[in-house]
Formats: sequence, C-alpha cells, structure tokens
Amino acid sequence: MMAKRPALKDRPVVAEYDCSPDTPDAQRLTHRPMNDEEYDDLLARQKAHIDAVEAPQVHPLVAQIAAMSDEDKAALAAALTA
Amino acid sequence: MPTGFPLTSGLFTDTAWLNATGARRLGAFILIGGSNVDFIAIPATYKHLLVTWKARSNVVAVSDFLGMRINGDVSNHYLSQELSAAAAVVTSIEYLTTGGDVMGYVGKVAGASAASGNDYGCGWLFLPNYNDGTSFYPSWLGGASFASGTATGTIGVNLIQGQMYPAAIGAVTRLTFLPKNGTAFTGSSFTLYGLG
Repeated sequence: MMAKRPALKDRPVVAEYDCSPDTPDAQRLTHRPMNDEEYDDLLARQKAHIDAVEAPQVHPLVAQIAAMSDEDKAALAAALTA
Repeated sequence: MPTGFPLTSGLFTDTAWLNATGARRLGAFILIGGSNVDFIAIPATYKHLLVTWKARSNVVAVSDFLGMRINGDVSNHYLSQELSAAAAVVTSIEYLTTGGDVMGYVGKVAGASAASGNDYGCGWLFLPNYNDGTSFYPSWLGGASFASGTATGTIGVNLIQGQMYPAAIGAVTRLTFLPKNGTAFTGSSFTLYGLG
C-alpha cells in the first residue's frame, strides 16, 4: 500500500524552466513542489538505491567461482590442492 | 570543393546558411537546492541541443550520476553505455536493467561524501537532430569531468552514450535532470542551448 504523500509544501522542489518563445523572460524559471508522479518516482528510486546499498556484498571472485560449471569447479579444486 | 558547399570565392552564397538561426541560449540557471531540473516547452526550431552543467548530488556516497529523462518518460526506456577512466583503471559499463533503465545517464558527479564541498562533476550533453519530425529513438552523447578528492583514483573522465528505447518520439520537447541515487542537487548549474 502506497504511503501517504506529504502535503505539497513539504515535498522536494523542482526547478522548472519554460523555454517557450511565448513566455516572458521574468516568468521562465519557477520552483514548484513535486507532483504525485514525481514524488512516487523519487520514493521508488530511493528504495532501489537503499536496497542496493544494503544488499549482501559478494566478493567478485566468489561470484565468479559460483558461476563456474561443476567441471571447472572440480578442475579449480584439483589445481588448488595439487 | 565538394558539390553544394556554400562557400564560393570567399562569399557565402547559400541562403539557408545565411538565414541559419545560429546558437542561442534557451535557458540557464543556478540551482541552489532542489531535486529535479526541468527544461520544458523546448522549441522545435533548432537542429541540435547542447546542455552544459556543473552538478553535485546529496547522496551519502563519494559519487553519483547525473541522470536525464526525455519528455517526462519515467519508464524503463533508457539505454546507456559508460566509458570512464580514473588513474590507470578504465571501466566500461552498460545500463540495460530489464530492457532499459528508468533514466539515461549523462555523467558522473560528486556526492556528499566527496573529500571537499567544492568537488563537483561538470560536462556537456549533446542531442543531435532532436527534432526529426517523424518518430525516432533520440540518442545522446555526454562527456564529464569528475572530482571527489585529490587522492589517486578520485578524479576521472566519463564518456556516456545513450538512447531512448523503445518509446519512439517525434521531437525532444522536455529535458529533466535528476541525481541517480540522491534526492537533490546542491549548488549546481545547467544551461541549455539550441544550435543551428
């Protein structure tokens, strides 16, 4: 279930620059709170980032050995114990 | 001289060249604090788009990536390939998570754990032929200079290629910049140019 979103005034700010030739220069740059879609996207990206940071770290060599075929693992074991 | 070259006897004779709009700054600002940077309503009257940037992320890490979205698309529609070098280490990585990432990447930036608050990433982003008129997959090339300290391996250079896929569009009308892992930029600046 989606957590309740904070009020607009409490959300991160987006700097928006309107490049349209019809927009007066003084009105081009505005700062607005994130809309629902942007806020949900931010939460999803933060969760993915935290999950990645907190995921168990596997040494690349261990991962490489785990991916070997049984035949290669046996050959490696034989080489190490020779 | 190649056929069609507009320069004859030292004079420009091609009216298309004479009437070219040249390069024009479409927007520039310094972001003191804030999460996303959104250039909207980009006119379709130029040939190419160029963005120059200096950015730093608030992520609790030494570095982060400057991410980009086109026309507000937040789906897994971005493919990127990075080539980077720091000290003697050259790294080449592709970002193709489940068919595409949720943003394209432009370059590496410093994070909150960089050695100094004065460390940044800076670079450029080039989107050639951003307005084809017919559906296409926009592609880009970005270059970045990155620093997070003075020790070996903490300064580097990035080159990032990317493409939007499979969401074909007719023109790039909006560019959104955001930190990949952080929630906000700090003391960053972005400038958008229309070329040609």
